[in-house]
Amino acid sequence: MKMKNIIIIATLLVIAIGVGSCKKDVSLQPSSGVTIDGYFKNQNDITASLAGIYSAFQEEMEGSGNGSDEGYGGRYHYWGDVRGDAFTSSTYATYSVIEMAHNTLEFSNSAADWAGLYKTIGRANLAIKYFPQVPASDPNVTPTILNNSLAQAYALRAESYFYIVRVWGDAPKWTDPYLDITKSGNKARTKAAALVDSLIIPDLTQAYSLIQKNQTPTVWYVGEGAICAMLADVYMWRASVMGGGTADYQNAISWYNKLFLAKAPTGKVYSATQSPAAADIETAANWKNLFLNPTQSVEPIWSINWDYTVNGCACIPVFVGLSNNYVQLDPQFQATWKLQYKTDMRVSKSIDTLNTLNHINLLYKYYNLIPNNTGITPVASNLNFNVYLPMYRLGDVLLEYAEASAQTGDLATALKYLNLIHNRAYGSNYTSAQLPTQAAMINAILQEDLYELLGEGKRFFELIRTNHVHAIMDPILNLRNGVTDPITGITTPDTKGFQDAPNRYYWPVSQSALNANPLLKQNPGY
Amino acid sequence: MERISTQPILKPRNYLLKLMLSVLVILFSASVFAQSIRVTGVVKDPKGETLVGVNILVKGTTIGTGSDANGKFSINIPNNNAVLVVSYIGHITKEIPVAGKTNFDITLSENESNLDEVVVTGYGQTVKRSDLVGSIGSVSARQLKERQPTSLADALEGQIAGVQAVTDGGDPLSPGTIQIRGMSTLNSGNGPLYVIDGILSDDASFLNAQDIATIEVLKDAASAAIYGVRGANGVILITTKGGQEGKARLNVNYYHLLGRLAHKLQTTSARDLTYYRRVENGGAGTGAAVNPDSVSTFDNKDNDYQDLLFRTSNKDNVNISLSGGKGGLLYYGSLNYINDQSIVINSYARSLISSLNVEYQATDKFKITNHISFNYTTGNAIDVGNTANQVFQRNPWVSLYRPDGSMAGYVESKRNPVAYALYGENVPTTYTIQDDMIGNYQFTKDLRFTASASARLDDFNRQTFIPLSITSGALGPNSGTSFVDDKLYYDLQAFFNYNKTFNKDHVLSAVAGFSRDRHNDNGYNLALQNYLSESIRVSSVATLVNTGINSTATYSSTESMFARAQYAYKDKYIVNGTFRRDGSSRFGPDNKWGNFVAGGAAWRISSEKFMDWSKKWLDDAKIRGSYGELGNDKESDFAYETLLNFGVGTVTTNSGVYNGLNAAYVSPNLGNPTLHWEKTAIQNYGIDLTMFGGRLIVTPEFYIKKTNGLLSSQILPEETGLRSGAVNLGNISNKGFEVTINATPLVNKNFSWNINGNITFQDAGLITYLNPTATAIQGSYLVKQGGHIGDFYLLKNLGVYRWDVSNAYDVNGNRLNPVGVNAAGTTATGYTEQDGSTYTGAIHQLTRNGKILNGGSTIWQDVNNDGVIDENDRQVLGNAIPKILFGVTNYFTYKGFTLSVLVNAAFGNKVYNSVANGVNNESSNYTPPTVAAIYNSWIHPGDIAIYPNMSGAVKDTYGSIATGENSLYLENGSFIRLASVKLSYNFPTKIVSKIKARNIQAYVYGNNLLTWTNYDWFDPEFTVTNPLQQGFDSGKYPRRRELGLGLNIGF
Repeated sequence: MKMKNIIIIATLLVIAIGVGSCKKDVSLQPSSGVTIDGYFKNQNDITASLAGIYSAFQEEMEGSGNGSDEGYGGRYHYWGDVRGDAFTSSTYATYSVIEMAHNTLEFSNSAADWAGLYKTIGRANLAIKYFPQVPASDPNVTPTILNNSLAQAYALRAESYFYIVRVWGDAPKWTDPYLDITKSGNKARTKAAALVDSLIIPDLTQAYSLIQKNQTPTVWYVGEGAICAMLADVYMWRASVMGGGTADYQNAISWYNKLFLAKAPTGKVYSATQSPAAADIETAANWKNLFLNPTQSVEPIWSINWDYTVNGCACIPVFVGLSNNYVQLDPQFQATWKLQYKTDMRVSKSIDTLNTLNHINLLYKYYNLIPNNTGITPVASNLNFNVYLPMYRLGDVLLEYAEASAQTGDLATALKYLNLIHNRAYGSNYTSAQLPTQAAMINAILQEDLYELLGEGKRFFELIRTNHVHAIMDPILNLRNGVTDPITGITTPDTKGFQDAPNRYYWPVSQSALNANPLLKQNPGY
Repeated sequence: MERISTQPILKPRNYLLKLMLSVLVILFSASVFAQSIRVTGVVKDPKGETLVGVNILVKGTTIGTGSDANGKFSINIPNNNAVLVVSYIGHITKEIPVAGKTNFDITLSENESNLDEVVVTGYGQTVKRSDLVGSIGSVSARQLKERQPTSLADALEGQIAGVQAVTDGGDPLSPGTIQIRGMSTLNSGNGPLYVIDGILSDDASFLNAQDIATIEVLKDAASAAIYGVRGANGVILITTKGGQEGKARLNVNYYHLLGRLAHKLQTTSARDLTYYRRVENGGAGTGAAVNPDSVSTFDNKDNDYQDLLFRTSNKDNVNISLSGGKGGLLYYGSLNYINDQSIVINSYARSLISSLNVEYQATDKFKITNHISFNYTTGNAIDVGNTANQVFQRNPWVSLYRPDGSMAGYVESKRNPVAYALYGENVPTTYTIQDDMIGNYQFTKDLRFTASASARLDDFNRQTFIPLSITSGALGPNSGTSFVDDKLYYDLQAFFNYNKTFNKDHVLSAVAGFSRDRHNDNGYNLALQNYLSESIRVSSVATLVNTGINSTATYSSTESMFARAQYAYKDKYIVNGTFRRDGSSRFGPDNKWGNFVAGGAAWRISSEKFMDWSKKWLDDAKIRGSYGELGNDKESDFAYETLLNFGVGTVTTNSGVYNGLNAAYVSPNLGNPTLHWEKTAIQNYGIDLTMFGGRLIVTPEFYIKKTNGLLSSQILPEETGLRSGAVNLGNISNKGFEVTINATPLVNKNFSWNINGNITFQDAGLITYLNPTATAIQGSYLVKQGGHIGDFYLLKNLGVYRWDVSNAYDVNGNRLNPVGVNAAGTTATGYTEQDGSTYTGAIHQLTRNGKILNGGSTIWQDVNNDGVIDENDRQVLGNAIPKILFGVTNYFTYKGFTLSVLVNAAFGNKVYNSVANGVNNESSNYTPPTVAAIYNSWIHPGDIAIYPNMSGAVKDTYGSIATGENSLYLENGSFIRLASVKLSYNFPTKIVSKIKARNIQAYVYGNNLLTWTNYDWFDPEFTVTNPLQQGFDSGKYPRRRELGLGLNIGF
């Protein structure tokens, strides 16, 4: 063979091998994520995935940060406030918001979706499964660090399920991360009572036993106090909605007492004597610190952090930065409460009392803006506000304690804790003569809740828990659901009140959830 | 050796370098042994006129040249046994043995038939059209020359059966979409694979439409299987123009296009709206007046935003090409500049494309070719949502200007569309540079080796900016984004071609080789606000918005080996077979490799003795069939693996930061290690009939295209905490029947008439199997086994209840007619059935949203008859994919004049008019409804209406508008379009030669001249990005009607 041919053939072989070999070239390493096997190796991995759980919960409560229709405000207000008496849909409302304010929820409602809570649960499940392997590869992860992290994962999982139980009732139970797509992810709904008994309470008690005690917490994270507050809240719900009765009110009270021994964000023990007094709560003058600077106050237990520079717009439904909010204060509520402008210090700190355009729809509580008699123009298009939503604070715990006491017949204790809050606002106490019966006491507590916890995501759950939905919502819904004659323009109030209770205490399961999981059954009444 | 130093060396990647060095080694080693004999000649047509640009090729080699302006050529041949193959478009190819002669006088006769046309089949293979086994449609050089296409989609529109090319006529930045034989896949669009001069590419955006020499569309598996990995949606082979031996030729082409909005819609005038608002306020003529302040200059305008937003478009296109060749070096260079000022004010595109093709026949055995092209495109992409749609969303009586004469921004909560178009910026700019180098080595007469390396870099950036003046209340902040995305592809190929004729009757051709490619994609985004100066866009002038800052990176690669062989016996029996094995980085370790096989056979029945009776009129008849598999790996790059993601950024993008700590979380898109190749199996049967001396060519074809293991993403149960996972979702099938007809009914010395037509009947997107966990309802569509892709799933709108008491049904769910209705429509004395009989039983009423439907509410069909109108009452009410498509081009030639007329059409599809639906849904005190709704909506009890009661207080309280699911807005999308008419005139040689030109052609043409359709909105034809949401008109850049003038001069 000629030399030439040899050269050529050799060259061709080089090319052919060059192009045709290197099988590894079709085995590439991912460039924008890491595999689960390659993670959970050190303390940073714990810190970051814990932030992931909080971040999912933060999004669910406060919104996705972009102010778009889909994420216009988190579920905190939609579930807790908009179905209640203090808020209603504004003229800019989407149909979803109108449905909430008129008790005409449909399964197409954009807030009827539990995906965000299950996202939190899924992340917590991953943490609970993989955190325990970290100390093996990182000696800096001490049992205390691991246990504190696990405690938060358990607590956030429990809190998410607690929302699910309160909003939808029965729900599928997931305690392991779903990682194998070849196995069906369809599960039927587990009874709400079973979720509370076999998941939420055990998770929280587990969290309590894991968490390091007597530490000064950071208010943005679940600490000893927050776990106690959650447990008490769960027992309150079980006591009334699930028939647990007095025993569960007592359980709640015992967890309040454990809570009082925990430390506030300032390092102070909430109530060393386990009998809170005026000194244990925020002063009237600094009341707004609960919302503006929760890290500086003795009262907060757990608040949601927000940083608009990285989290985007805190576009809650009552945001001041937007002129077309979906939600506004109920006109009747606003008219009534503003009459107490001079007696209740919270009025001027919470709402605007002017009915001009752009005012009635705004809640000022979360902003360092004080409306005055000339009114203030909302800072349109200024999305640069941080909103710190309180999940638990001593104020709401005390009112709940008062409720538990009233429910168990201990009107003296109820009056004591109710007055702590009432006195801070008005500078005067209720007398026992004013609230002689259990019913009167409950009504007074609810009244105080309405003002003290306005827009704190608790109202509708309180109405259910105290069985006051009909009493409070019927007249309001009759007005809202009145029919306007197209010719005369006269509105005739409805007469049916809150329809289909207790089915409609719960939300419908969303169409998207039903579509994605054929084993789900819709709630009765929808 | 000195040549080496002139070769550009790209990135010093090992194998790339290795390959190029190898090519150069061949080049060097081969050139040492060069030897040749020179022959010359002249080529003429039967009339004695010289033919320019005739291809002269030494048979079995790549040695070739072209005739010059005087028809002359010279060529170096290896030896005296060589055979010259002389071919010219539209003429019969001649083979002339050299046999010692050195000068040739060659006459080529015209050919009416296209049987001898050479069809490119890929990887260096060509086949005579008559020997094709598979289904390949072509757009010939002549068609391209006639049409002067402005884009590839434009070149293909209506030209080839089974090819649906959709152009967005008005949008200067839209490349259009091309789909071959329905959809066979769901992910990443349905675009075919483009093979441009042998290099594989997912798009052809960098191509100058005027550089295209020929287009071949590979439709069946036997043809496309050689491109197995990416061929599932069909393959479009594009050959660009090259140089020809001889003196330099300069060609200059210029055209100017004028365009107007093709279909003007009726917009709501101030008068319409005043009427409507008065009616809303309490009845026509009696309601409170609207805008009572008649002297307010702000509220008493009557803007027709359509007139204000649209203008006459002007488009200039200059194309200059220079080509020639000498001593084995051929070159073709072109420069194309387009400036398109389109019909929406301030919307434009400008592009500059240059390309240079150089081919060097270094020795008689070795040839090296280099293609380099550069493309720069920029423009202003008008945000259709903020402008063209807002034509219908802002009250016409509101002023456009502030009292000081400046443009108003938001008024009555609505953007000023004119200000938005003028001052908003959305400027996408792309720089693309692509280079490919191909070396051919002719080993022996029969065996050729080719190696190629190509690289392409796309540098895309997008600048957006919203100035302070058009923000709400002009309060700001002004804001902008700056996005950069760099994509690098490279591709290496090496293959052998073998062509041999044994004993005259047996022809064997084969190709075998390897290829590999890689795709890197890196993106960066910056978001800025509070610009201190609005005249610059750099980050130093503004505040960075953390939530808008991110970068992305991904990559993928494939490796392939392939082989194809074709055997023909006496041109009568032809079989071929293809094998390809592909590996893709997009699948997990166990599923990376896919094998694809295909085969086909053809029988030239006309060559059989028993067909002799037909010889007089039947020139050629061939029956052919093929079957094979193609693959698709279009899935996200690492979809097989479950990953943890991290994130700064908005939580919407699934990133997260909590209290200053970046989050880590499992990706909401679950990995699927079982993910495997999607395979499309295609059966294709066809008959090629050529009759009457090539005057009539008929090709009926039938195909069945089945895709198994559709790559898609599946929605996961929400309770898993995740959103979706990549899966092989199901199977779909497309069936179709296509007929292509090419006829020349008339031809004589001065006049000829040619018809090129095609028609496709298709049953597209039938879902034959669907993973049971797949989500059935996706927006306005139902995706279900047994259904079709594009099935609209809506509530059936049966009209509007005249009175409250009209909402009355008997026990069986039949609607009752109320009798003796009072003025308010709230009571009736009785009811009758539809047949007139009196009904006395229980009355059932329908509810929606928890409310009993009343007068003015839409009557919905209660499918499940449960008395409640909800999501469960949706039904399939039509499909978005056309059942019939056709295109017919007529060419008339008289002396120097040529007239071509293209008509195309689509039938049997529905379009959802989401714009009108949205306008009516969003109508409020700040937005008018459509004119149709103003005059046809329910106002008073007793009205017989088409649209429901939309007045402010009750609007949609009863769910009567039902955005996205209302059959009232589902319209017939069929159309027939006079897509293009072109009249061109070739100046006679006498005149042309006076100015020393080679040819002069002047032309006048019109595009999108007439459209017959029942569709209400701008146009029923538009591109969609999500194949599952076809036919959903959510507001597109409207199409324009164009008139153009052009001049083409060659020297």
